[in-house]
Amino acid sequence: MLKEHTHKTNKLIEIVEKHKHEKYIFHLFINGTSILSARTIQNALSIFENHLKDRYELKVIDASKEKSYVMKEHIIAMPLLIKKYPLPEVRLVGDLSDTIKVTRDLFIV
Amino acid sequence: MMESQEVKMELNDVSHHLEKTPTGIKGFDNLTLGGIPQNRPTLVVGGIGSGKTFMAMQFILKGIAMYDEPGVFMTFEEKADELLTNVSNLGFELGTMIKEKKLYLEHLHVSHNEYHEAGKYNIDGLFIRLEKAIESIHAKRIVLDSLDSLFVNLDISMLRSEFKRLFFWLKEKNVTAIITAELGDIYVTRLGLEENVADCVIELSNRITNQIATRRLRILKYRGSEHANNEYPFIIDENGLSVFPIVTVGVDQVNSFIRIPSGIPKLDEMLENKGFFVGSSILVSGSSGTGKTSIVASFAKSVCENNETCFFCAFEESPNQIIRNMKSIGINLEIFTKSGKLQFYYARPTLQNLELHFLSIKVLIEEHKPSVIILDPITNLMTEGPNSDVRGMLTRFIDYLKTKHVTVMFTAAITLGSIARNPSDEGISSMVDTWMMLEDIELDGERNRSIYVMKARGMAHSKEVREFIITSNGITVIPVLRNEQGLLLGSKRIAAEKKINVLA
Repeated sequence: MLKEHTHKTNKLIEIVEKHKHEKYIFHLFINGTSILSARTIQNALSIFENHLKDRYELKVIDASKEKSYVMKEHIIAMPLLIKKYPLPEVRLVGDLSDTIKVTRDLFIV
Repeated sequence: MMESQEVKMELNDVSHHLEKTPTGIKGFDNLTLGGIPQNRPTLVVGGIGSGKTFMAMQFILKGIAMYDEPGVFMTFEEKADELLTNVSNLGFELGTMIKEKKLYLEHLHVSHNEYHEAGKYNIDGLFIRLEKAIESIHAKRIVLDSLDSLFVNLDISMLRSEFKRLFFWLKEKNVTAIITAELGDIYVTRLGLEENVADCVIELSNRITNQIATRRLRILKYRGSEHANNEYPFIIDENGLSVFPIVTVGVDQVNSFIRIPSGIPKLDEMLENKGFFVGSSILVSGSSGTGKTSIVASFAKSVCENNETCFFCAFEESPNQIIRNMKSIGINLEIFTKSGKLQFYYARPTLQNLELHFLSIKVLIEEHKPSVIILDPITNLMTEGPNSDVRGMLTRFIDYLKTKHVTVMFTAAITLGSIARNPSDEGISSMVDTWMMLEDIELDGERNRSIYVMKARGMAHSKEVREFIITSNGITVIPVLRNEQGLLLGSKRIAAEKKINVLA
C-alpha cells in the first residue's frame, strides 16, 4: 500500500516538474497604440516576469492591423489575453491590473 | 469635454437639413416622412417576438433590392443559416446577394462566460470587425441584432459609455444603422440610452386584447424631425412587414360629382334618379333578414356590369354561400368572379383585430385598385373590442378610401331601436354620406320590408318610405300605397291595387 502511494506521488511530481519547464504561450490582443494598450502590455510583462521568468512566450497582436485575427478569434472585448498553452485555453479581458485575479485565472504556479 | 463636443455636434446637425433613408417597409416611411435618419443609428426596441429582427432584416434586404444600398447584418443571436430560413419566404435571393457582395451576413459568437475579467476593457474588437465588414461590401446600411446579447454578462457600468462610443463610431462611418434591443428596465429605462444617445427610437410591441394579438409600432423619439406619434398596428406576412399609417391619409380628399347607380333603378329614383356619389360612403342598415346583403349584391352586380372592379369583403357568409344565395334572387355574381371583376375577401372576424382586417384590405386595395368596396357586415367586426375603437378605425378607414376615390358600401345591423339602446351605433351612421334604412314592418300577421333613405349628403333625396320586394328576378322598390288607415304593404297593397285597377 505504502509503496503504491509513494509511486503515484512521485509520478505526479514528475509531471509537475516537467510542466514547470514548459513554456506558457500567450496571445495578447490590443487595439493600436493607446494608453490602455501600453498599460496592458506593461501589466502582462510584470506578471509574467515575476511568476514565469524564462518560461513564457508572449505574442502581442495589434488588432487594428491584423483584422483577420480578430475575425478568427471572435473578439469583441479588448484588450484580450489568451493563454494558448498549456491547455485549457483561457481568455482574460481587461488591462490585467488585477494581478491576483490574473495569476489565479491563468493557473500560474 | 465630452459635453461640449456633443453640443457642437448638435448645432451642426441643425444647420443642415436632416437627410432620411427610406426603409422600404410599407407604411413606415410615410409615418416618419421619409424613413430613418441617414448615416445615424436608430434604436428598435421591443419584447420577445415583437418582430425586431424581422424589421431589421427587411431594412437591409429592401435597401439592397430597392435602393441598391449594400448592407451588413451582424447578429449576436441567431445563427446565420437560421436567419436565412426565417426570411427565405420573403422572396429575396440571399445567396445571390451575398455572392454579389451586396449583403454581408455574420453571426458573431458572443460567449462572455468563457471570459474572465481582469481590469478595464472596451469593445474595440467589435469596431474592428464592423469596419472590416463595412469595407468589404462598401455598406451603406448596417444592423446589429441585438444589443442585449452583445452586452450579456458584460459589466453594466461600462455599457453606457461603450454604447455611446458605438453610436458615435457608427455616425463617423457614414452608415445608416438599426440596432435592436429588448425593451428592458436595464437598457432603455435605467440607463436612459434612448434619451441621450439615439436620434431615433422605435418601439415594437405585441399586445393581446380580447384574446386577439396585435403587433404595434410607435416612434418614441425622432430627433430633428416631425413624426406621427400614435401607435400603429403592423402585420408580418408573406410580403414582409407592413405598417398601417391611417392618420397620414385624409388630407386631400377630392369630392366628386360623378354618380354611380345603385343597381336598383327604383332606388336610384329616390336618389335624384342618379344613384350615389362616386367616392362616398354608403351605409345599409337594418335588423337581420331585412335584405341588406341583397342590396349590396345588386350594387356589386351593377358595378361589375359597368366594367368596374368591385371588392367584396364578407365577414359573415362565405363567398360561395353569397353567390348561391344571390343566385336564388336572380343576381348572378359567379360570372363576375370568374372574369375577375368581383373579388372576395373572406375572413372570420375573430381571426384578427379589426384594424388588421382593414390593413389586409388596404394592401389588397393597393394591389387591385377596385372602384367599389363592400363590407358585409361591419357590425360583426364590432364584437372585437370596445365600440369607441371601432368608430375611430372605421372613420380612418373611410378617410383612406375617400382619398383613394373608392366608393364604400357597408352593412350594419343598426336599427332605430338599437340606436336607442346603444347610442354609439349612431356615431357610426353619422360618419357616412348616405344612409339607407331597411325595416321589417309587421301588419296584420304579415311581415313586409320597407326602405327609406335616412340621409344622403349633397343630394335632394326622397323622404318617402317605399316597399322593398325581393323576387326571384332581383330587387324592386315600389311606392307605398296609403289610404286613411295608413300604409298598405304586401297583400294589402296588392288588394288595393286590384281595387284601383277595377275602378279604372
